Amino acid sequence: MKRSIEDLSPTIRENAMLLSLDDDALMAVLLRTRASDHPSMRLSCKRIRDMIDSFQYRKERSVQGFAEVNVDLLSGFEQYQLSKKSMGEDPPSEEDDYFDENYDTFGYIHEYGDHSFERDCFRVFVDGRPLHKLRKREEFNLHVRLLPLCAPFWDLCDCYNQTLCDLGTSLFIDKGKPKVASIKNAVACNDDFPLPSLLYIQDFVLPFEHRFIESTVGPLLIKEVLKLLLGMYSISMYVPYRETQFTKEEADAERNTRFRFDEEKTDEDI
Amino acid sequence: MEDAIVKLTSKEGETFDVPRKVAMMSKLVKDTFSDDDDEDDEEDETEVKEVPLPNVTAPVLKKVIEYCTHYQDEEMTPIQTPLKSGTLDELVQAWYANFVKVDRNMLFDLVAAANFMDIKPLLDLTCLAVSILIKGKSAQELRQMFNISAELSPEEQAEAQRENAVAE
Repeated sequence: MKRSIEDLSPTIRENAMLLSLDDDALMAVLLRTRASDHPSMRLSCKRIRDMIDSFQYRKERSVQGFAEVNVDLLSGFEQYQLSKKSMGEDPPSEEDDYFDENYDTFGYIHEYGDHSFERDCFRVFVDGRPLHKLRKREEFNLHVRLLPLCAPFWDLCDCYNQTLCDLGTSLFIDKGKPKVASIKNAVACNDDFPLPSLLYIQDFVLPFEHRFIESTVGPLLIKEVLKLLLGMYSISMYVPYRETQFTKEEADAERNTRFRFDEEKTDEDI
Repeated sequence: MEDAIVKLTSKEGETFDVPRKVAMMSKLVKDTFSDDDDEDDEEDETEVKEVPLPNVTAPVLKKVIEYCTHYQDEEMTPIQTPLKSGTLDELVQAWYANFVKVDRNMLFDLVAAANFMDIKPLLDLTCLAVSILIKGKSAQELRQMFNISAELSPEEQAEAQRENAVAE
């Protein structure tokens, strides 16, 4: 059914109240609504739906502190199910020997007893919007590692990435104890009680609307991750790198200034 | 300066004498004053100034002044975000919770006035009251409650429902 623009714009009965507010005031009201009410509000009329779906709305929710952030970690078995599914294998069971030997409640146990949680292991919702379902990793990414602080810690750090390797060797001895006085004092480490793990946030990319310095979404999301794994780590680290801080304009500019061979295909072409 | 009076004039031309401190809760009024001060530094500070508010009716302006006056004696608790509770009484003091127990027309007029006059705590309070009205309502109930007659086309409904389902 085709309708004209006039038909689509809300026709206001006399004394229409909510829709009689100008865009500015309506935005002020909608910003303060609960995320759980957004689905029905989106269905109520086009003007409200367009406003809730806009970049500006998401940005303002985030900046003014109204954004609601929920993070959940899949159980070890759910992660096992996911990996089997991605490989197109038979539906798994908790009785599987492989599951029993290689997984614990947190997930797959890697070579050094460490855990790696990529974005598929999380369920991340900002105002009810599932960020983990965004297809592009440049729009959303979250990768967290839990690294046991014990020998051979340097080998463990070395097998993942250069930043982690640099951090590992400059801040810790090979046995996993902190070298640096500030970290030592912060965790008040004691030789009789080995430290459990280092929580290392390897990747953390948020959609552009949540990248503003005043945005509350990043801190809330990290806080939720730290809460989820509470008790499993004594030190946590995150080293932001420049691409994750780019605004949309900066990301576009970076893409356009990069040198390209004449015959080279862009991501869009591919 | 403490006793200075500001005249706020409503849409109908009715004038309200308001202590300067009370009127200054409005950023619009404050900005009007600072503009005037820039223009004429020599001006007599005891002079009564008049600020026209063509978007605000007299009954609404009266309520706004009531809010700003009470705020001087009992500052409203800042509303915590994201919202922790669904009832006004748990989020703000009793006087403020009662203040927004008005009919819906007045409530929306107060939202518009708070937005126009740029009074953040009043905007927070009135928008909170509206968000509590919205809480838990279906799309149909919202349309009924707010007199929204523009329903989405079946295609748009289906699309919006599909997008909502992805979020679940």
